Amino acid sequence: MNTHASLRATALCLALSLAPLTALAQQPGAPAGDRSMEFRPGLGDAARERIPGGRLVIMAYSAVLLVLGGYVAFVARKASRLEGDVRRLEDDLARRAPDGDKP
Amino acid sequence: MAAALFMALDWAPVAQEAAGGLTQKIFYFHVPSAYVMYIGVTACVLGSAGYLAQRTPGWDALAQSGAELAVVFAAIVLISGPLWARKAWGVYWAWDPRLTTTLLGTLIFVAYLVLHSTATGEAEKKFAAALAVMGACVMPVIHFSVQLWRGQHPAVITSRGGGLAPEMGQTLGVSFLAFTLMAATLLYLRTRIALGEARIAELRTEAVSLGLLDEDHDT
Repeated sequence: MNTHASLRATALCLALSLAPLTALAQQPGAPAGDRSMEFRPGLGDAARERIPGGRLVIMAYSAVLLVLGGYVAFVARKASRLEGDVRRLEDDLARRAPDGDKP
Repeated sequence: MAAALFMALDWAPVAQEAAGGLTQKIFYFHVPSAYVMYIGVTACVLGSAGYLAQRTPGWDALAQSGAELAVVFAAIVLISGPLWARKAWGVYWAWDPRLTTTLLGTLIFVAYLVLHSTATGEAEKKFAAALAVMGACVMPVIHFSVQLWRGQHPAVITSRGGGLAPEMGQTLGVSFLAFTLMAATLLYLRTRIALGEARIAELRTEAVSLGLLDEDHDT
């Protein structure tokens, strides 16, 4: 990639990363006011919402524990694979090493 | 973590109906998860900037681990938030500035992970690192989106304290502590593992070049 292409790519990436700021233009000077500091319910018809809160809480906490458990299992699997890789590499090197170098 | 779970589900009082009533309890894991997402992004950006400056595997490992942490905890935020919103707002999802920018930020770091995992050389890793550094620009937008634009999402931490009852504040504090410790442990372990993997690959290449291993050795 030559210098001009690199500069163009960098400029494009910078422009894209600043794209969310264009949303400011949608509400010129609109003060967020106190509203942003409060909880505002009611996009849908929350008052008539009949889903039991307990069920949603259980679903949320189950999902949290599932995602966390999944990631911990992924990390543990990576650690055990790494251990296996080290052992295999040691074995291979020991097999290939001249007799005098073997431990 | 068990203490945080117990305090959130049993000890903390149920909030007023306007905040979702019982579903407000999602808050105790939702907010610390968002905070850990910020930690992950910070680690990824530091690692990426370090990699761009020094090209050492340690920085690369930190960046990769940070991105994974950010994506995992962003997934928790994006799953738990809509479940709370279903009760509090009546809909699972709204194209609110906070929600939209969080989704955008998550996708940027998913893209980083995809790019990094398919990287075969230094050039691709540098490109991924540059993406992470530029992706970090969206983080202040996520954080200040509630103050900047009109939306549904409430500001969590305000100068007026957020209006939490003492038990709720203590529960949130314990959750923050538990999530911070867990994030630090996961980040440390994952960085060590990524570093170990990089070292193994390096040693294998060296052994092949010295004729100690066959080139098609796939272990």
